[in-house]
Amino acid sequence: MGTIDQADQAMSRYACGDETAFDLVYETVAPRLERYLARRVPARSAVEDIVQQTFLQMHAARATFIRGAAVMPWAFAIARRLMIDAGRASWREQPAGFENDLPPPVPAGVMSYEGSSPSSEQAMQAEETHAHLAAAYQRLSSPQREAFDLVKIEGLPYAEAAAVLGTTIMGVKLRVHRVHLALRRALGGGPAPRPARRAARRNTGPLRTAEGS
Amino acid sequence: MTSPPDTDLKRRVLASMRELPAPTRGEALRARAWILGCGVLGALVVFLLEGGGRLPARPPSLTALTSLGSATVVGAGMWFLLTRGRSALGRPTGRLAASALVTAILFIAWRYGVSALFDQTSAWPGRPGFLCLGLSVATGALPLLAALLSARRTVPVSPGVTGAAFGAGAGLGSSWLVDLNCPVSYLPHLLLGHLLPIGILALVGGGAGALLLRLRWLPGSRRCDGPTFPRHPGSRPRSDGRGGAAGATGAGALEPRQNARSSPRLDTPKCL
Repeated sequence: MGTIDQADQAMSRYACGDETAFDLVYETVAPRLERYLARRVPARSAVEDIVQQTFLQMHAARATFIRGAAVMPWAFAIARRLMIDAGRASWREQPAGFENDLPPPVPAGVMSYEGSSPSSEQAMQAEETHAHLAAAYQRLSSPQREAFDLVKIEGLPYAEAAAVLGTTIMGVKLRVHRVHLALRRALGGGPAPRPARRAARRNTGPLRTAEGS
Repeated sequence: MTSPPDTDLKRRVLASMRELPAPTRGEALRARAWILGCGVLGALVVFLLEGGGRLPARPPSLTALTSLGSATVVGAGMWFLLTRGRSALGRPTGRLAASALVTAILFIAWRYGVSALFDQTSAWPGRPGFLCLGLSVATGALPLLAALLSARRTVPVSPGVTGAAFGAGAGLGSSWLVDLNCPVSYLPHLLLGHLLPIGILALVGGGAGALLLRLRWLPGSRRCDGPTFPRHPGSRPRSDGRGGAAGATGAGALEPRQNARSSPRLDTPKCL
């Protein structure tokens, strides 16, 4: 049984009045909440306040937790709502969370040097790629980033991510797909941006011209 | 990839939780049963006081058939709309909307279809449907209020949609109750007096749900004790401890509530 499943059961026990079960819930949920919030809320103190308030809300509403339900989507949804209420719109989102939490993208060539330190040229290339990815990530819309984070970083199933975001499963899939495309483009691969493709279809765009020449 | 949780934060969480008593599942179930029971009882009283106890001028077999059929439809619809399924976050918005729509249409279609078999769908000049409309709305208002109160401040996602689902569920229940003594099966009457109340209560529930069901910051975290959330993260802490990200972590932020009062520009908290 995984940690998350154990946390689900612990939350059910806690809802029934078993106070000792809270420890497991906290140990499982708190780090993930902090990581999720740190990507969106710049001030460390604000992250801690939202985490604290999230647990307080979970505690106050523990009786409404459905037996057998998943605790992570519930916690994420509460934290997200509190974050929005706290005025996320007025905060500048910083790329620090992305840089801290995602493993730095490493070019394929560097991976073959496992066990030994990569050359400075390869390290520079990796840093450059990382910077491209971070910049591409920051250019994405907030809903796209949220969907990507919940599904790809926090590991929530599409249905649960959709429930947290208050949208449909298809909506989440679409957002994640668009993030994939954007990151792939940042790495230099993937399809051309849509306007260019449209232009190519009309036989007037730069792509067609380049092919023709 | 997750780092171990902050022990200081955990200590603060536990301390704030100790100050906030929370009912267990059993206690909350009993409280909710009381609230919902009072709501249903109030609806029955309103129904009886408004003249809902009259026997319908319909053949008994028609009354039995329409009531049983519509009870099945309404029961299924109310269960789907008023419960949350297996997720703590409730059912998806699309499914709630679809079920409310399908149930309401089935409810009217069943009533009209069965009455048509008995040739009872002719117009009643003196009963356009306003009486049934008023009675349905009045009867459904109390269960709706009870449902909203029993779930207040616990819905993190789409509280308006949840409130609308509660309203549609209460509307279905009240329409079924009113349907028991209404002899008119003329389609315009059914639409005005029996279908429209469901929509009205869903609208009212949506509005009230957005206000009552949404989460509010609870007392116990620093945000409620002082302005820890600056408008701009880069703003400097003021010397009087009124704002700034760094100021939030300092003693000034932990201090007094009067800071929030004397600083209208900050995002002052709304505690319980």
